[in-house]
Amino acid sequence: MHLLRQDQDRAAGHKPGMAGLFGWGRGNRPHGDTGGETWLLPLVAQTPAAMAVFDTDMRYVAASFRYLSDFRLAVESPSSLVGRSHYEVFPEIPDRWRDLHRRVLAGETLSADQDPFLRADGQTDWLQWEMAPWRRPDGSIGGAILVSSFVTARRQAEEALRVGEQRYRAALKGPPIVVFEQDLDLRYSWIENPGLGHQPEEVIGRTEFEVFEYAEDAAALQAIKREVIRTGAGLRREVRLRHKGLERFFALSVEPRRDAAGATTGVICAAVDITERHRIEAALRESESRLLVAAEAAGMGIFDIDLATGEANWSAEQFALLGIPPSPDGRSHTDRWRGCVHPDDIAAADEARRRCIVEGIPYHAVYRIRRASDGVERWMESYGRLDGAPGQATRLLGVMFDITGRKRAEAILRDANTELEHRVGERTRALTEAGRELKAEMRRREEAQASLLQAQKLEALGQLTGGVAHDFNNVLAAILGSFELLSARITDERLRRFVTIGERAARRAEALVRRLLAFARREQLTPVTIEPASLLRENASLIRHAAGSRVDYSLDVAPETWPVLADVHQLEVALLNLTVNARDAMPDGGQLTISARNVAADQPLPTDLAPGDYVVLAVQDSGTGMPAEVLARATEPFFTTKEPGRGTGLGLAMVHGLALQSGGALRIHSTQGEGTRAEIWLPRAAARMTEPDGAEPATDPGLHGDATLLVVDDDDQVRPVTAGFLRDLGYTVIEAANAEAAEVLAHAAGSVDLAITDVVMPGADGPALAARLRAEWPGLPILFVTGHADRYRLEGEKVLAKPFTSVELGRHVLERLGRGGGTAAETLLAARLRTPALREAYQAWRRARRGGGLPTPAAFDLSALSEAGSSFLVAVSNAPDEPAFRYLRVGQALTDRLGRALAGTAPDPDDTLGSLEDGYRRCVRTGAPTYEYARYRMASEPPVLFERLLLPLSDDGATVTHLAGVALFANIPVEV
Amino acid sequence: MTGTLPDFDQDDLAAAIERLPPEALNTLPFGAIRLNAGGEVVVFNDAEKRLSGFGDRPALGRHFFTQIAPCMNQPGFRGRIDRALAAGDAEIEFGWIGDFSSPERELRVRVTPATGGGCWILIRRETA
Repeated sequence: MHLLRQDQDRAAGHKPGMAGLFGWGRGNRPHGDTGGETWLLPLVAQTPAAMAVFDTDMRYVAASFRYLSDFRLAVESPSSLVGRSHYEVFPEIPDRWRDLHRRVLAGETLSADQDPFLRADGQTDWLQWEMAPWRRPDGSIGGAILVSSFVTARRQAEEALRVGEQRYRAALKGPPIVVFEQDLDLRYSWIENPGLGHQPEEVIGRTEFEVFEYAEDAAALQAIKREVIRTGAGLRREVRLRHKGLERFFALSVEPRRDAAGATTGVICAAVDITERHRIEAALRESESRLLVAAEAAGMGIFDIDLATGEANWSAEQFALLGIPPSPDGRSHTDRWRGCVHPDDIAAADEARRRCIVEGIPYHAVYRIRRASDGVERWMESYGRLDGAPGQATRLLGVMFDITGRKRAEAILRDANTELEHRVGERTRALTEAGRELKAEMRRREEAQASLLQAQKLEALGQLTGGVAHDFNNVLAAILGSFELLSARITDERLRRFVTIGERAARRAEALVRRLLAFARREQLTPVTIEPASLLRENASLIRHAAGSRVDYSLDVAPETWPVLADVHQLEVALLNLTVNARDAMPDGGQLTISARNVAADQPLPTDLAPGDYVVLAVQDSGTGMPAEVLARATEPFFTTKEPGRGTGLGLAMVHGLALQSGGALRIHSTQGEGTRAEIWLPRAAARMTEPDGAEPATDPGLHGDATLLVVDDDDQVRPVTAGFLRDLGYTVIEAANAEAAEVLAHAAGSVDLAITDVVMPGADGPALAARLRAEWPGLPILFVTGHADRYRLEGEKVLAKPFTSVELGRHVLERLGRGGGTAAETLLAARLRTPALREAYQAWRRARRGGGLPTPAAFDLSALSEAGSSFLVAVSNAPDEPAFRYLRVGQALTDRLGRALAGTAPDPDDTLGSLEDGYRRCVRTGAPTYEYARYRMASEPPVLFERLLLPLSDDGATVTHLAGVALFANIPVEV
Repeated sequence: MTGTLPDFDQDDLAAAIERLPPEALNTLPFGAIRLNAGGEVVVFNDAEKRLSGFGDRPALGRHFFTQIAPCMNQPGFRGRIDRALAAGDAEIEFGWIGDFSSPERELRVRVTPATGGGCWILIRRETA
């Protein structure tokens, strides 16, 4: 240490100075030796420096207060120290000091700038001191003076500066830091580590513009520095400098440089080259950006979760995938994510995360989310990893992406597989089903073949039966006709009884033949539309009678039963046959039910029926039932289980034939001991048609006669009977046994009004004869009769089946003569006309008809009628479209009743006749007679009957040109 | 089956019909329409629905005379009938035969007072 310094020269040079300072002269003695010099002590005491004066024994002569305080001496005043030895006051004083004291007392002046001083508390302070001898007036050394001051604070500052300097130097030797100063003109005044290949001397005294290649770089730098000079506040900036074609980046720190007065004199700057860091950061940014772009392009969201806080960073894509706006909503990202995850999937996703964080298993989860923006459900898959070992990692990083498309594809594939399996299963089932169906079909085919065999057998039987039956018809025609003629001529009642018996027997034979023919399906059926409900109700009493008193009969007709198309008589007979069978199956009584119900086309039908709607009429009994072998033969003709004489064996056969011929079927279900159910299946009628009047009313005798008829039949028994009927009706009859004879006889007669001919004859047959006759007399009406109605369907011809009654023959003759009666309606009208005057007018009108046309006005003479006064004649114009009417003639009785003459006028809608204009129009339109009536009674007036008959007339036989009418008013006697 | 249904031609036809249970009215083989005193249709049976071809809509109303009884369609006569029917004091029967082109070859109509005012119109269409 150089702190203690021995300076002989200074000691010699400074001694007088110091002595002078204290005012000490040679004669002054501070202690002991001086005695009376008391002024010295207070002077020293007040000295502002630490000062002590010793004698040659190092006893205190004087000391300053500062000395006491600096050395922390616990005495009240400097005077307390006077006379005490220095070594007594500082007993621990090192020996070095004793040497120094001796040297000073020997005449040396000693000093030190910094001398360590160990305090009592162990602390070291640093002391600057000077010690010099003082001399008495005789020049001898009287003692020593010590002046000192502690310099610890100054020493510490110096030390700090030194260390700082050392560190700064060390720092500049490390990284490329440029430190420099610039003055207010921004000229470099000092620089360390200039960098960029510059030497300090190239820089000092210059500005940036002279140092750097690009003026704009220099300007940018100067702008920063001027800002600092202007504001007096330091700035940190990152700056770019281009040098030799390369970009370099520096972190620049600029501080104002101030003088002692605080005025800014320039700037102190430090610049660190961060080009490499900049490059790395840019590369990192680029890499990060590439990753983000790639992730975004892949539709991949990226997440980065801080495990300590649960906070996360998401990429934009992550937000987009979840449909969450990037703006915060107060919830953590993790909570927002969980809010989107499907409730059913959240547990699995949480568990995957937990295992990743706790066990370090890479995070993988597949889950559904409901997109927050639109609620659409999507499938997501997430992968993630920790950034360190479990327990030490701080982050979980991962990606999430949408796998909905893949899921759908998987689902479709799965469905396709399922569908394939399903179809294989279906196909297998279908094949099994087809196999079963094939077996069933084989079985049905066998059954059908059996049915066919049975049908062929029945057909053969039918052929045989039909042939025999037709021959019988001729026989019966002769027998019946003969009995009918006999009956008309015999007056003896006893004889008449035999005729009646014979006639009845023949009728029974005829019925039997009809049934045979019905079975053989040779008989012509007359199918009409039948309402089953009406039919069953109308026949209820007959059926009840047939069933007998022991049988409880009930009728069960389903509502709205459809109409059927069948021959009404045959159907009635069929029902009666079934009823009789049922009765015979219940000898001790039982329950008989006849029912009707619809079976729609979509319901199961018997196999041999064509598809369509059917009505089933069923006769059900509670009788003995039939064994299978009987049931199998039940419909065969002549097969019967009844005792001889009770059954014909034709009942079920007839029903069977009727059903088949009507397009239906007969089905019999029977269980022994339980009963039998016979069902007649009939096709539903296409529409409700009209039912021909079943009754055959006798024709009006007044229409017959006054004509010549040719009767041709090779059967000598039948022909006379036919001729007999016709003669009885008042006709002139020519008989012929064959076609040739017929032609000759017709020529001989000159004129024939109608030819009636058998169809099958030796030689020329009926049709051939008809052709010849028509060649001779065009328009000659011809009526064919035959016992083989089925074999000769004569197109457009009128055919009468043998045997026939005189009534049937009469009706056909009238029809062919064009005298009406051919239609049931006209017959009905005739029957309804009860007032004689109207019947008379109607018959006169019918007789006036020729060849089926309407009578002419000339042929129909109104004045000949008994009620001519009530008749009228109307002229019709513009018929039939818009007919207009004008009265030509009105009888007197009508004129009287109306009170004015109508002839020449048009009908007035307001009067009794005129109001009937609708009736006129109807009559013109239909070309048929119209009858109207009204019976009324009002208040107390007597009842009135009004009747009117309108008859169409025609000049040409076709278009109605006139109407003849009869109108009657009658007061009916009031019944009491 | 049901008991005996009234016959169209019986004298007390209106009373017999009124005695029938309501469902039996629909089993009548002829049309039955009841008009109240105001001429409005209050009863309309199934047969009429079916046979008239008008379905659920009554074929007849106040002016049935002009529609089916043209022979009574005179202003003076019709007025008398209207008044008499409204008073429940009229018996009318009318009909025609002979329109062969129509399924209704014979039409018969009875108009008879109903108990308590108005009248029954009973229509029988005889098809052949």
